[in-house]
Amino acid sequence: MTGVYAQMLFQFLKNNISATGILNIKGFHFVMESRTPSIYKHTLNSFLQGQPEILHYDSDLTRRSERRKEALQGKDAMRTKGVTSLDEYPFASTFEGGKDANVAAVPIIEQSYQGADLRWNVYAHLKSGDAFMVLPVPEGKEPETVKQEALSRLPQSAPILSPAGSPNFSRPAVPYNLWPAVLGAGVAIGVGMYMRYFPIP
Amino acid sequence: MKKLIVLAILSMFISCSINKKKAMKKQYFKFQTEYRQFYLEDGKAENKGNTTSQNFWTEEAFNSRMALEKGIVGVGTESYGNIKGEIEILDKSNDNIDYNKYDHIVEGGINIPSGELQILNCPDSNLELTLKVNPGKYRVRIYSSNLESVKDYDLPNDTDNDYYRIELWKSDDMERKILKQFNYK
Repeated sequence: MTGVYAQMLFQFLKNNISATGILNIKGFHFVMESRTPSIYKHTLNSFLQGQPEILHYDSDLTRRSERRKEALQGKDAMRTKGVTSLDEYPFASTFEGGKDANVAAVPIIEQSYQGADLRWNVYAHLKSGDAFMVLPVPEGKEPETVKQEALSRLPQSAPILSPAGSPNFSRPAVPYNLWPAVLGAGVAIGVGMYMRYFPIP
Repeated sequence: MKKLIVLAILSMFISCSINKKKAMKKQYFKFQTEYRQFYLEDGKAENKGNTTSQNFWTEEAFNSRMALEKGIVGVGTESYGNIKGEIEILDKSNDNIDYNKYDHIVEGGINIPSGELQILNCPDSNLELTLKVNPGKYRVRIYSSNLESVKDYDLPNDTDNDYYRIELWKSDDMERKILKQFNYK
C-alpha cells in the first residue's frame, strides 16, 4: 500500500509542480454566493478553520466513498430530511477530504447545483491528482476578478534550489568560436617557455 | 393444402412482427454516481447545453427530479451512490402506467441529433452506457421506485434499493411534466 501512495505522490509532484517549482493549478471552482449562499458561507468558514483552498482531484470512486463516510460519520442529526443535505469541505472527491473535513447542512438544491458545476467546469478538465483552486465569489463580484486576486496572493517565483557558488555548465566560460585562438595561444606560450628554459643546442 | 400454406405464411408474418417488438432496445445499468444525479446526453458536445446554466437545476427541476437543458436530461436520484435501472426505447408512449408500482414519475424532452444517447455519472462524467437511436427529438419518462429504501441520502448504503426505469419514444414535446410526485413522509 505504501508503494501505491509513493507512486501517487510522485505522480502528483510530476503533474503539479512546474520546472520552476510553482504549483500548477489546473482548474478553478467558483462558489457563487448568488447561486449557493449556504455552500458559500460553509466554504468561507472552512477556510477560516484552516482548510486548504487548493485541492487535488481524486477519480477513484471507492476512496471517495470512504472519505465521505469518514467525514459524515455521526453527523446525520445536523440534517432535516428532504430539505437539507450534508456538505463536506474539503470535498470527498479530493485527496484532502476525509475525517477532518468540515461539515455543514445546506439546502439539497445547492448540492445539486454544485455537483453539476463541479462536473462541467472543473472535473471534466482534470486528471486524477490535478490541483484546482476553490474560490468563493461574493454577490456582485465577477469570478475572474476573484481569480486574479487569489492568484496574485500565490508565490510568483520559487527560490533557486541549486547550492551557492555551484558552477553553471550550461554555457562555456569561453565562447566556442574563440576556442582555436585560446588553444593556439596556449600552445605558443608553451613552446616559448620550453625554448626559454630548454634551448635547443 | 392451400389453406395450410396460407396459414404457414401468415404465422411467419406474425412471428416476424413479434420479433420486431422484442427487438426494442432495453438495457440495464448499474453504476456509482454522486450529488444524487446522473445524466442522459446526446453523444456530441456541440449538441449539448451546459449543466451549470440557470435553467438546469432550478427549483422546479429539483422538485420534479428532472433537469432539462439542450441535449441533456439530469436525473435526480434518491440515493447518493449506487444507481440501478433500465432504459428502453419504445415505438410510442406507454399509456398503461401502474402508478402503484412507482414512487415518482416525470417526463420531459431531449433532442438527440447525433443518434447516440449516453448515460454519464456525476461529477466525473464517466460514460456508463451508450445507446444508438434514430436521430431526433424524444420524450423521456423516468419512473423512480423503492425510494423509501434509502435511509440516508447523503451516503451510499448497501440497503439502498432505489430503481430507475427510463423510457424514450419519438416526440416533439419537450415540456417537463410530473405524472406522480414523491413526498417524504
